[in-house]
Amino acid sequence: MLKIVAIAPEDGWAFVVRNGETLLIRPPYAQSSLMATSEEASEGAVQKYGFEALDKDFSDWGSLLEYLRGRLSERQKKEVAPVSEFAPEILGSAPKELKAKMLARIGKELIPNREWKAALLLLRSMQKSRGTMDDPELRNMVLDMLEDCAEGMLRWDLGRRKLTQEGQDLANQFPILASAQDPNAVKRLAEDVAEKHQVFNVGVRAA
Amino acid sequence: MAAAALNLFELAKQNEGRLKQQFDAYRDGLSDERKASIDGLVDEVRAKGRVSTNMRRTGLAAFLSSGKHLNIYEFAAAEAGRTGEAIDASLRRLLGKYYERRMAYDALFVGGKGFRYGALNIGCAGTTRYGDFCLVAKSAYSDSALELAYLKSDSLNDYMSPGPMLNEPALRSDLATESHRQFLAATKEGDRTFAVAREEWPSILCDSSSYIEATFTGQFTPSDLQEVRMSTSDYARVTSLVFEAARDSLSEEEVKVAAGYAEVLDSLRRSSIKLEVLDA
Repeated sequence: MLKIVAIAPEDGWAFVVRNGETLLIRPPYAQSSLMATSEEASEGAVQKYGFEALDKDFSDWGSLLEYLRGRLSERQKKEVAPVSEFAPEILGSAPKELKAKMLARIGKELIPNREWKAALLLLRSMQKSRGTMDDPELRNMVLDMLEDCAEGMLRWDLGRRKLTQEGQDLANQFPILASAQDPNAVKRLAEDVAEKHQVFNVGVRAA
Repeated sequence: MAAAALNLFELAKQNEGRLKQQFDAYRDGLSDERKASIDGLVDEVRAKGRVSTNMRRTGLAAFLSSGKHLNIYEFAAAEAGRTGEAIDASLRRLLGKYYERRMAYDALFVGGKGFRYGALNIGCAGTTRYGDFCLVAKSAYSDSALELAYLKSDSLNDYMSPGPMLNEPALRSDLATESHRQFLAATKEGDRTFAVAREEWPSILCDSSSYIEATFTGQFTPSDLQEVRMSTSDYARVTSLVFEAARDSLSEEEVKVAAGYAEVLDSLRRSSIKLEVLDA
């Protein structure tokens, strides 16, 4: 049994008691976001920090999270901003170590799983964020990963013929890579990947 | 309810001499090595001690946009305006079972309903379990505050007994003014600071489970801020919101939370308020 004893509904924070243990949960709602705390902390939260006292039981985490999300939505704006709009601001204020950790996660979790959309979104946000490309180490990491993405996308998602076709505006498709290096770098990379790493003929019906 | 009879800030003033004596006695009992260490702590608190208060994202956004800090009564009034309920009903809803204790404590003091609460902070991200943004006041704010007192620990948890009743002798002996806050800090935490590196002193003096409480009155506005601090671990949680949002693995509500963090960070930057992310 789970019990919310204090809640800040507009922030999605809650003190939850589970088998006598007091936990603090905050977005993003994941196991890793749970923090062990104390009954005294939940009391202090209500007494002085604007948490609302609550005494509400839940049979499982699913129903508890549904409740938290419902309370969150009560005071939120209707529209959802695209991630590409707000991510650069958050990444811009992040210390270098967190930017490097984010890049490492992109390299370990997104690129190997061919989550190109997410990887490119984050890399572009990283590139737009303040200070990132001014740091040689971070800049190289971003550019290397953009290359990894471009290479991966070419290998797995894009047809060789389409991409190596004369006149295809590859620099426009990969503006970050193109602007960071020379405009022909993307095309050369595309040709190189197509030449060396072709796995199967995209668009050609198997015999 | 009894009429307010105590002036918290006068009590702090009256305790200055006793507090200094208590510190001197404590220091006299230390080895030379520890005397040097405790003197270092006193200097650190004197130089870096600031009033801080922790807020969550929406609280900080409201503070920056309205320019006003709300204590529990002002917040309840705002809630009452929003929901249409009576202010007292709003207070009862917000405070739940702590309502009686809160009301009883504040009613004991002259101007108690105008109290704002914070903590003494010498360089950490504060009481992060209550709010991930730690607002640190400029030294000029506390230097010029007409009403500011420090209490050795949490007023409601440690000085109110069932009834609710105030443990007045304990309160009187544990109060400090701005000019004597370093002696309060040193006598409270001196023994713990001997065992750790100097870099850990700030989090020994102030974390979510133990802190020296600051009580103050008067307005507290964005222009009073020296900086806003966040712990690296809290900032990592915010960047993980971005990561998961990019993967489409968050609910719409969580994506809006992430966007809200960006808005607050943008507001801080536009207001030229420094954000410092600390390993604390």
